[in-house]
Amino acid sequence: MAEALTDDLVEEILLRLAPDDPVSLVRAAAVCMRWRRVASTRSFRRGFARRHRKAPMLGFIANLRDGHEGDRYDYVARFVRATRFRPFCPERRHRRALDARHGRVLLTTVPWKPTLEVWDPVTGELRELPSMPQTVTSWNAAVVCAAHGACDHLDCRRGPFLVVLLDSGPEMMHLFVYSSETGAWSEPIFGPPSPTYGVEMVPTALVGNALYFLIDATESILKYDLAARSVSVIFMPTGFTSDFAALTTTEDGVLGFAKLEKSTVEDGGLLGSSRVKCELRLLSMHPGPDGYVTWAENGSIELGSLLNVDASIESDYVAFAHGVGIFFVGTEDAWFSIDLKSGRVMEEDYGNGDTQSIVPYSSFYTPGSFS
Amino acid sequence: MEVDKGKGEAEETRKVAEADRDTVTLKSSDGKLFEVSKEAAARLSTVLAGMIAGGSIDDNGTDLKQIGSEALENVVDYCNKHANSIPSAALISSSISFNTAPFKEPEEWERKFVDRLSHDALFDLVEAANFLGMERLLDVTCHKISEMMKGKSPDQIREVFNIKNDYTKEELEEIRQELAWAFYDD
Repeated sequence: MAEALTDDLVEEILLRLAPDDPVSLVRAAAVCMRWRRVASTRSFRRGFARRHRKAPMLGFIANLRDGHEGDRYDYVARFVRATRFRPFCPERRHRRALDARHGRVLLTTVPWKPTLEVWDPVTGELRELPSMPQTVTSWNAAVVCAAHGACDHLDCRRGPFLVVLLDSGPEMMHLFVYSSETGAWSEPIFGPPSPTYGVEMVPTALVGNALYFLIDATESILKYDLAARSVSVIFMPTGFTSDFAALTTTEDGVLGFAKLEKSTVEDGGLLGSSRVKCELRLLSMHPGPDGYVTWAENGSIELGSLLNVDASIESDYVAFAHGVGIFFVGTEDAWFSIDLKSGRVMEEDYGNGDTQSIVPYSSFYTPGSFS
Repeated sequence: MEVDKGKGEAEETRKVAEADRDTVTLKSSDGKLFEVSKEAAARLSTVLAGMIAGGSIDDNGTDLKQIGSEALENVVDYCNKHANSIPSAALISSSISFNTAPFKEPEEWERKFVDRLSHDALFDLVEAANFLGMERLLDVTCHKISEMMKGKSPDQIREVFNIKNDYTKEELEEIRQELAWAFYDD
């Protein structure tokens, strides 16, 4: 019987619980002390992540404006569940989520002087970063495990991390790197001249050792190489115009972007009526000679029929969950997640308030994080 | 097709084993003999592969003192079924360490194979698979057991798995408080 199973066999069984069902692992750990001990070792955490490879999207952070009637101006970063997992403190008031990676969420205080915080929703750990090294204007920031290149990112949430801050000025773009090991910001790394339209405050993409930031009203992308500490600029496709784009990545490490495009089409009615068609267009970047890149169209998805909504889809925001390949788009009164692989579409309930943007959060959950 | 040898067929099985080198004969802790495809046994079990390669296979029945006849019958049944099924690319490609290999979903026949087992038989089979170093069978049986836990409360899991609760009331309450999302619907 199960009582007689060795620790090794209990581990083998618990390793096979589905990562998108964190309830089962928690309940297994509550069965008896031995099971909890087995499930909370470092080797179990690593084995679990290694076995399932792809961290599930536990939820996403909705950046909301919330408040009482007539006072809807409080900024809130609210954790919205995609699984049963709920962080100890799911709502961070006067905060906005900028980015999430390797189990950590990067928050900034809003609307006053920005202070950055790194939050791990699974362990509940919150770390406030020292003041930014300069007064920022149009800026964005990213969080990443510090052992880039060497780490498999299966269980590095307790390890050192970096925060990369990109500010559009003065005159030249400035990058600063905060290291959790030294607890300090680096000297500035200078980039190209300040872009006309500044830096987009949308989640970055990590491909290999490079972090990509959207800049200049989504006309170009800034690439920061973490290993070489070098900065370069990549231009979006010629003639590209869009209200908004989201950076994407594929499983085999190709950078891309997604944008929403609206067009008016005849709907074939007798009276010559027309309707607005809203498409999610996907492009991917491929390196060419002399450092130039080419962009390839990877198809498009018509959202009107997929979401089964009228053409009230907002074209100024798309979010993408790296690793799991899930897109988020919003209409005037709802947000939808679209899983490209399975074709599953879900209306997301983020509670009260107006969602401004979404930062997906993917991570393994194992009971090693019990207090 | 059912390969169901070994129930009171000891004599006959032994003769077949001696005559036909394509099979090996295994002996359970309670003395029953089972015949299994040598190729499948060597491919599916690292322990049996080692014994076959090392020449320590006994034609009169290789003693497997740790495994009862019901579990051994299931092991043999699994091997023979496996020998007859078309191996998928997923099953033959894995040479990486078991604990770290990404999980491959059980095939339809493997699912059926474990679904028909009682809880006791399943747990005995897990132990047998582990003892014999049968990675794939261990994978399939552990997966089945993990599925049995889905949607159950800790109390229900303890009941199904016959496990004694050694937490104090206070400790359990603390876990429930801290991780309420895993215990209460909302």
